[in-house]
Amino acid sequence: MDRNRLQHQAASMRRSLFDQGYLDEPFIQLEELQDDASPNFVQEIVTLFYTDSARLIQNIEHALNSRPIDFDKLDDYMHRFKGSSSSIGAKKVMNECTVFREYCSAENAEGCFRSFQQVKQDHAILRRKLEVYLQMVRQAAVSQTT
Amino acid sequence: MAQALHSGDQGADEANSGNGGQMQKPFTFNEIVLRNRLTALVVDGDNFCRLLEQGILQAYGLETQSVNNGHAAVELIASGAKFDLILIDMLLPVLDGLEAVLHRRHEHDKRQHRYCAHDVAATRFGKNKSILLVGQWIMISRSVFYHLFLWQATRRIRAMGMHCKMLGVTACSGERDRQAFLAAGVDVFVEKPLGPEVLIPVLRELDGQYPSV
Repeated sequence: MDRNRLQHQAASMRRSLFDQGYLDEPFIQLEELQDDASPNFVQEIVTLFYTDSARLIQNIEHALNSRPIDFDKLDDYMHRFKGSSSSIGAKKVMNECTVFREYCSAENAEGCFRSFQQVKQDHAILRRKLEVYLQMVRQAAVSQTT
Repeated sequence: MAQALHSGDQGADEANSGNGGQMQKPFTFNEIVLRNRLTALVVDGDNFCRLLEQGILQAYGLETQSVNNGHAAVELIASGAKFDLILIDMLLPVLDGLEAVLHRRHEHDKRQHRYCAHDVAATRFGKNKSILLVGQWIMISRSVFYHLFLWQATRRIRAMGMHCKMLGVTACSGERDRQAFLAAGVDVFVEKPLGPEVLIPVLRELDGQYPSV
């Protein structure tokens, strides 16, 4: 597949990530941090985000399944999750983290469970889409050099 | 690849046409070119956020170090390290863990609106000085005592005479925490993500403090 077509596909994918609300402006800042000295920066930072957030998700699940539920600890975990999500520009994930924290503040366990399912769903969808997008970007870069 | 997508070819045009173009406005770290050597310390317990914040500051041209807890930050500054800018997260592990204990105790007693002033005094002033409050439970409002014990790293850094610019960052917080964090010693309160609209004016200010070469 020629370079222009690959770039077109990658750009379309990128646009859809923003249009559908999965990504926000901070992601653009991430892309600007990528240069010749750090050619894989975006991939590396996305990988780090998912490694860290997987651990947080595990901690949150454990806290939600504990009895009694420690809402204070839950809020701490979700606060961190929101911080990293907002820093990468994961807009939908970040917004749902806010909803979760509201349920947490109200000590509404059922609301927390529901919201957490949404957080995990949005997190997984974004991961899949970013994997596809970054794969397209890599392919376009490789075709550029061949 | 960011450069390729923004290069003006069809792919780049399509990338910038969505959402009215506003969400995808090209951004560059060359909006500010520092004339002086500026140094920064990033204090954040979250690996991802710490590395990202450090990367952003380096992209602007600052020489940066980072630590992942409040105690390490205090130790570094106590050793004589000087910084023009400190980026410090509102929630830090290790040094600021005290308030985590008090906060959980507060939450546990919230229904009774009680706060163990004896324990507060013992923690703050030492057991010997808590004699006035031994055996007594006092109705104390959260706003009076709770924030006194928060953000120990920030307070200690200021107490050591570090007068550099401090940006306090957090994922989200209420107005009361915002004001309290500012009162603890940060100059600017920033909600993540750390963006150019906050950083560029700060960096211009810091860069301008040095005499022109």
